[in-house]
Amino acid sequence: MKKVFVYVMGLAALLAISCNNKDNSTNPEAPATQELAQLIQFSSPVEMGAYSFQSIELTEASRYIAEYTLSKTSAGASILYGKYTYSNGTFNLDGLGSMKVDGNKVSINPSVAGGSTIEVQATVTRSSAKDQSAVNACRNWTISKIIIGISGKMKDGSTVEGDKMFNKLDFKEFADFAKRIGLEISDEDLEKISYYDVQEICMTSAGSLVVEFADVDPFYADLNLNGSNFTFSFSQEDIPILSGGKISGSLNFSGSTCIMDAAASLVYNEEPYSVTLVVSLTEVQ
Amino acid sequence: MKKTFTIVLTVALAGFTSRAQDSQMANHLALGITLGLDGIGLEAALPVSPYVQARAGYSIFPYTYKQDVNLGSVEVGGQTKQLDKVPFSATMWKGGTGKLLFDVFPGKKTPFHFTVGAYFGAGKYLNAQADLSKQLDPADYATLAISYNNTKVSTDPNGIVSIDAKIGSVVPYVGIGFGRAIKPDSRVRVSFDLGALITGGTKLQTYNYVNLEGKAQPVVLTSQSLSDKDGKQVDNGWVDKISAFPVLPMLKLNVFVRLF
Repeated sequence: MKKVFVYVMGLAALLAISCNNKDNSTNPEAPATQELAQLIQFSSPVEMGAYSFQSIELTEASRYIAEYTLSKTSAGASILYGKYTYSNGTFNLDGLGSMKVDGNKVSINPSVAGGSTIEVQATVTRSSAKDQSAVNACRNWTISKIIIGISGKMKDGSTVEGDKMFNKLDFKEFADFAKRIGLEISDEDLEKISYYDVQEICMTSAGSLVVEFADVDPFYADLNLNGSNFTFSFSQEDIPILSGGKISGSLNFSGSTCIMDAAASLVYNEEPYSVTLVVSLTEVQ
Repeated sequence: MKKTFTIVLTVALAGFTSRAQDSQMANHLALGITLGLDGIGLEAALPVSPYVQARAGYSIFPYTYKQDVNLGSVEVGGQTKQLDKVPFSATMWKGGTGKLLFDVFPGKKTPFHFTVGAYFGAGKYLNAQADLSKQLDPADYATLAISYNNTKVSTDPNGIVSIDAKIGSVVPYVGIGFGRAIKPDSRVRVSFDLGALITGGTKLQTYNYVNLEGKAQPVVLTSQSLSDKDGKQVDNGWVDKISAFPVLPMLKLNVFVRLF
């Protein structure tokens, strides 16, 4: 009897230990093109029609980020963002063309009619995530739910405060909410921002963050990933009604879902306010 | 809590032990109806020994107070909403209450007894609801949380704000009583209970549904969280006083019919 008691107690102890060690977080599977991720920086701009390309980044998850300037304007650099596939040594970049990389030699066949093969020297840097958190983060995500909390004290002494949950991040909805709780947002600015409806978010270990919108050019920022923490900055040119700021927070993963907790200090019309974000992200291929 | 369970267990064991000395254990069964501060209910009683009777039952509080009330105005989503004629309801012991009680008699024939045991259930002895579905935009149901002194509250997905007076789901009971639920020579017995649920305090809580799971997250209210802009507690400290009160009174009248 005593022996049975000891066995039962031992089993209970083992069960208790195994329960204590249970970890609810799980890592997602490696993204499709993790091994192909690289940053290609051209030694001289690649001219394709009106576009002058400085670099092309191939991400861990089948997306390319091509940095360009428009040849005959003084506008700053922008990006083209799209899908790519890889087959028999050739990268096929949707809307751009095909590309081969051989050491430092890059040859591009533009998809535009009449385009001839362009050969160029480049610095090619393989991208590799420095830890598991970065491996988990560097892929494509869509927003399945987002809670935006706003708080601040306006110049007239009034306060704005409230949390609102959305099923996607549409900056028009965000601005409407901010206006409802006391931010004086003009109709003109509401119109400006009405096209900023987030479709996809892409993070890369080369330090890129791309936010793709439904009807306007994608937003690009330098992403700093450090363990499960991240920061990125943006300017007023990126999102019209915001004067710029820095967003920082953390990422936690469970399978193909990522929970992002973030905070930012923002300014609108010289009125400072703070924003908290809790975002449920779902991986997309 | 732990001590009370030990007492209950000891009493129960004492009953079983006395079985050897007395064959009265479970030789009768009575069913009864109860009326008290826990509502109306049904109880079954059986003798454990000449000194101990066990009772188990379930009660519900069938009355719900309903009234349209004027709650003044509130800032919701930056707009001032007049909360007039808001359907308000309040009920007690939502979900009903189960109980397991042991009556301990000082003598074999005495009707006076001490009672120990436990009440169990949802632990909501008071539930109040304000239906704001007509005052709010349906798009704001369970998606918009308003802040007040860093306390964030939202409606549920139907536009209803709930406030619960919450105690533990299992709460010890101690009390005194008069009358035996079972007496072999009587078919009908009346007994009376007066006692207290040892709650250790009450949490007055409302809920915030604005979270990724969309589930009700309890938000405990305190007098501090109900302070106005000048820091004056609008409830004059009553929420804290009620929350700290460690017992709930219980008063109950029982009528039992002996089945065998």
